Amino acid sequence: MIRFIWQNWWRRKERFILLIIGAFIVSAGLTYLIGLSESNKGTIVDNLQQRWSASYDIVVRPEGTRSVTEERKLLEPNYLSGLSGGISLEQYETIKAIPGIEVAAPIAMIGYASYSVNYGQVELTEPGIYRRMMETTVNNGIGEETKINNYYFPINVWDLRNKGPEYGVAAPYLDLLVNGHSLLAGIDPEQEAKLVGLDEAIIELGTSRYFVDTDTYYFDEGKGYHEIPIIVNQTAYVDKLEQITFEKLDIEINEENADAVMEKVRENGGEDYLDTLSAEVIDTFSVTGKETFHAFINRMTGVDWETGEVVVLEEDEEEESNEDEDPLEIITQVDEDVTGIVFKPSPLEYQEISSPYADRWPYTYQVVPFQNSDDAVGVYQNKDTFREPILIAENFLDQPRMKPNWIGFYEASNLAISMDPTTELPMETYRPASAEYVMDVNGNPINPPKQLKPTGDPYSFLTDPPGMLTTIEAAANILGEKPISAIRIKVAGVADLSDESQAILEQVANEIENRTGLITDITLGSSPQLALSYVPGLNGGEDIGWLQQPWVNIGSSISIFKETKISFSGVVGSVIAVAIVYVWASGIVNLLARRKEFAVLLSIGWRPNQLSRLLFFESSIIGIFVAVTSWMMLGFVYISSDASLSFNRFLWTGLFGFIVYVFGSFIPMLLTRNISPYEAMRTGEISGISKRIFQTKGINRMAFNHFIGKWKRSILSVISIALPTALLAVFLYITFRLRGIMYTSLLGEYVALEIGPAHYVAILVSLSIAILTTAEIMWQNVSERREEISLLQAIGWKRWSIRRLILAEGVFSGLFAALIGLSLAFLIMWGLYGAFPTEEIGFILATGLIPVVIGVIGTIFPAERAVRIIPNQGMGGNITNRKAVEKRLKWVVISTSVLLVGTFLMTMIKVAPNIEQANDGNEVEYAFSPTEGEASIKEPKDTDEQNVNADDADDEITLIGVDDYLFQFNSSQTSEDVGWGNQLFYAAKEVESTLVIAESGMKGIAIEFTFEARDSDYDIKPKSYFTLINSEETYSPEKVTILEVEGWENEEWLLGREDGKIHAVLEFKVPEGMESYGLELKNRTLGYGVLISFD
Amino acid sequence: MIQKIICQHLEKSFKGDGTKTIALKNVDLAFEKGEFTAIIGPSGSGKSTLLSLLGTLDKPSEGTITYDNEEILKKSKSKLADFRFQEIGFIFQQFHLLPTLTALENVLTPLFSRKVPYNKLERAKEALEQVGLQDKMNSLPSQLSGGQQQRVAIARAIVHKPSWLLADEPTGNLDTETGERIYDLLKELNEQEGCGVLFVTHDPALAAKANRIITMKDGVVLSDKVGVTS
Repeated sequence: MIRFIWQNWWRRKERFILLIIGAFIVSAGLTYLIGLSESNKGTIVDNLQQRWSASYDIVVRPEGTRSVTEERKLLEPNYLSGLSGGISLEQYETIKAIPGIEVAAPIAMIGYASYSVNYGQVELTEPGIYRRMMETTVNNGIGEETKINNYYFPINVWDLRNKGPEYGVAAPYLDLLVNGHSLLAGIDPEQEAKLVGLDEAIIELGTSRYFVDTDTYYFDEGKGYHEIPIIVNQTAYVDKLEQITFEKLDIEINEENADAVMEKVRENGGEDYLDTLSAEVIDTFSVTGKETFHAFINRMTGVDWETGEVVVLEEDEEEESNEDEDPLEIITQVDEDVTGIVFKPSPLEYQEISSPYADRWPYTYQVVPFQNSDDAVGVYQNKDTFREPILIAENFLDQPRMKPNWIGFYEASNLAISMDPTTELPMETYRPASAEYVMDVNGNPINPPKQLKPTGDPYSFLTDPPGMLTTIEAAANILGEKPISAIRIKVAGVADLSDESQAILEQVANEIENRTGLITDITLGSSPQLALSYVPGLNGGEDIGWLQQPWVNIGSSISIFKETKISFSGVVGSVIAVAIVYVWASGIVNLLARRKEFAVLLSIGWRPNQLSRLLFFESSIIGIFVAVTSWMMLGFVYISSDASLSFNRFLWTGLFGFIVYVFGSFIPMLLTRNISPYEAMRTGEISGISKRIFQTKGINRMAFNHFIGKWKRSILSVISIALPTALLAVFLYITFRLRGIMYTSLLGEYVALEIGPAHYVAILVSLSIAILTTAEIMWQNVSERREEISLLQAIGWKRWSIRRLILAEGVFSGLFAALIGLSLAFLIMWGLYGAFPTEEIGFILATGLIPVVIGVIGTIFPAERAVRIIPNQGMGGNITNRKAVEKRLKWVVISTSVLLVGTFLMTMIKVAPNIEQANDGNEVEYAFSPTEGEASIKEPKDTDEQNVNADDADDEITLIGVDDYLFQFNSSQTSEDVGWGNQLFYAAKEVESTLVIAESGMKGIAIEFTFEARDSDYDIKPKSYFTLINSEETYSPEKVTILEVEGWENEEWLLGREDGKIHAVLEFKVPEGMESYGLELKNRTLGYGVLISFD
Repeated sequence: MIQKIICQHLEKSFKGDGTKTIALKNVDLAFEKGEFTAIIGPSGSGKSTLLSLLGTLDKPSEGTITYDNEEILKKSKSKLADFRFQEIGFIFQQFHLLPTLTALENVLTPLFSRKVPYNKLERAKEALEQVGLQDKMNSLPSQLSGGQQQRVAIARAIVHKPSWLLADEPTGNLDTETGERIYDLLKELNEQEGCGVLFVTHDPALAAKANRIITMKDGVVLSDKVGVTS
């Protein structure tokens, strides 16, 4: 029997090669898709967890702290730094007691505490009025911001006593005193250690250590301050330079005329008048934020920051002697260690707007600045701030004063949180917020983007992470009843991103809400999400522009994950289904082809079940071949890469191919029951019913009638071509859909990259299987008609006619298959997702071409063979056992196999380690809706002198949103006039047209333009990139005359480095009446294009 | 060993698309083992239909065929196949050799997965020798001439030593000379092996040489004459 089967295969070489290729593709495809991808299951989960895991699973916040951004499940980075209290200690204890909660780490943002360092005093003895100018230059990453604070005081010349501030001068201030701000937060040392390993992040420096139980809060009744234990972030400083300059004003003043002079100062406007006076520099001192902070650390630790040596402190004595020397001098800091807290943290207010580039940034917000009124605290009075300044106490005297007892320093980068900048999840308490300045107000990209840095201002756009930490106990004593701003929860038993984890978390979250009434958010499975914020300028200043920040997309990884899982299962499912259809179709075709042969075997005494056994054996042999191939491939991959493979997985991957083939034999086996031995007596295929739709009049109709006449066969072949087509279309849809979802978040992009190769392989596999199926059927159809063809040749048909006859039938099968396949595909899509593809419809419809193309390709070779049939050889066949042919074919088969296996293994080894995927998973709808709204750019604050600028800015910004131009100007201007002078020079003017216009009602317009590339390369093709537009029509240049050109590569690229420049005349033919028009330049480098308007 | 085949009121019709074609009408015939019978008649006279019914390839619409008083046709398909294996050897006009198998393998096909008391390969070679093709054992059908192919088909038909040989126009696709040789071979088998031979032919000259000549037309037996007696 085996021999019989083997001979049957071996002597029909073309079919046998097809069979082997099919078996290879099926086994390789299955191995790859179900074997490997599944074998590495879990790796992707690990990856996700490692890369984008927050240290907490749930965040508990007080009611009303959700911002507008959370409607879209977005959290701004470092949102925790903008919260101030709201949760009581009792609530905290309640939460801690909830079963299943492993860590409940509270954080209480107390406020911005200042630390100061005194670098000594200046000696000023010469009588006069002095100016102490404090110049603070902060580098916020985009540029430097300088704030100047002047302070005036008299030395040895005028008695200040009983004088009001209207004189513009105050008590002498001689200290070289520098301040720093840092956010102070209260934590529970024990929980924080468990959550992020804060105890491990303490650095060894002097006596630096972590909190212990004895570090308690103490209220000093006598001095009226809170004594609190603190640990300090060793990098809690901003990039700033403080410069203190003492100047003597050029003002004639001595003890005699002092009163008169000062009276004059008062009349002239006091301090404002003094600001206008020139002065002579007496002394300057400058220090950076970093130096200040290190000095602070030195004082705190008692050891030198750099060397670790003990520093001797003598300041206390000095201060006392200073006080003695000059009783008039204001008391600067009685005790430098006592500090006050003035401001509480507050959140930013956002407003949704439409994204200027929704593809890149689906979520866009605008920062709404807070306008302070007269009532606001001094520094912010009548000024705009990004956040609402909130005083910790209305009355200055009620503001808490505290004496921080320094305990230790910690290094935030040593915390057990992900610090990899490419994968960080910007929701950690300790990470500095980052923002990239990507576009200026006009929408021009900033290249490279600049990194915005925190400025240390409590109410600036970027918040700092806490720089000093104390205990919750201390926070409660300072803030009162509800000190905690948020509690970060870690739940026991939640290890991976899965439905079970989600369920546990939901349960715990509900429990928390029920018991405390606080709001909870599950943060497990969140992904970073790049969001764009439009940041307006403050206090009439220029708008800053567009900042890109990694935000947190809450819970998105779980949805992506699930979607990936279903989609991938769908993909694997469709490929497997395509494979099964292929196997079945080829089984049925095989049976049809051998029907007569089987009838003969029956008539010579074979039992029907012998035929079934024959088919079963055949399938089993291929099945075993497929299984062994799969196992070999898996084994090879296993040995050559580090992919881990469970035995079960290994076994089943092989068995699966085997099962597919064995099942594939069942239908033909059943069909053999219908073969009557009597068929051996008959000639030709008998169809009881013969349908004729058209009368046969020509080749096409003949083909069509043949197609319809053998309708059973045709239906089979159409269906077996249609099914893979349908599955391929569905598969494409899934891929598109997945991409659509993937590229909305960073995590998605990552996942998409990871599973990309698997998808391409899947597409290739199913496509080649679909091709094989079609080819096999067409081949069969044609080779069965050899007799008919030889007859047609015998009666004098031309070769081309025969070719056409066969090709036409291939086209018919293809068309029908495309029709059925696509209808089926749309039904499946509807069933799966309840939606039809709209965007990708073109592409999916294009899959309908495959069966047609395949139908034709599949018939070309048979048709060629057919036309070569010598009329009387109709039956001869190409079955041979000649030695030479055998040998040659053996080589062909062997080398094809080697090539196939080799290529496959190569790809497999290359991509295998990257492929991971999990199975199961249920349907989730991942609703993705970008932000909407209008960017209301530039708030009303601007008055007269800024109007011009502001208006310009206004225009240009609104242009971004709509489909308009990158920039535009009129013919009397140049690109320099609209702020584009640094990038390029572009100007145009109308000149005398030289066009000879024959038609009446038309005229010529000539425009002479100059374009220079200044910063980079621009592509300029005058003939195709310039158009003349008026309200209805566009006109392309009729003629281009280049007057002068430099650095114009390939007549296209104006090279920036070679000062590329083009000066040319464009001539257009336009209707007579056209007076006003615009010259539009649209190319690949200028985005929305540039318009010059002519009036 | 079936000694006698008796057909009673045999009728066979094919239905299709509203038409009914009567291929065989009220045929009553009896065949004895050892007879050499020729069935002659024009196209469509029902010769091949009769042969296929006798060979259990098809079932009659009406009437019965008894093989030694047994109605084999009522049995299951497998039993029918067994019956054909034991008793009937078929030879077709188009030879119907399996194109992928060599002459020897083709001869062996009826013996696949059958338990036989003799050595299959030896028997197949013997059968080929009997038809005079011992030197063509390893040739594929496409490498053989028509006469040779038909001789392979005959070897295949006799390899399992059937008691009846049914030949459907065995010489129809062959030239006269070759046809005669095939005819002689059948005759020889009839005489040597003692198996009943029923053969359908168009050729009156060949038919005339048979022991018994049955003439058919339009599904009806016109005459049943005794021919040449040997």
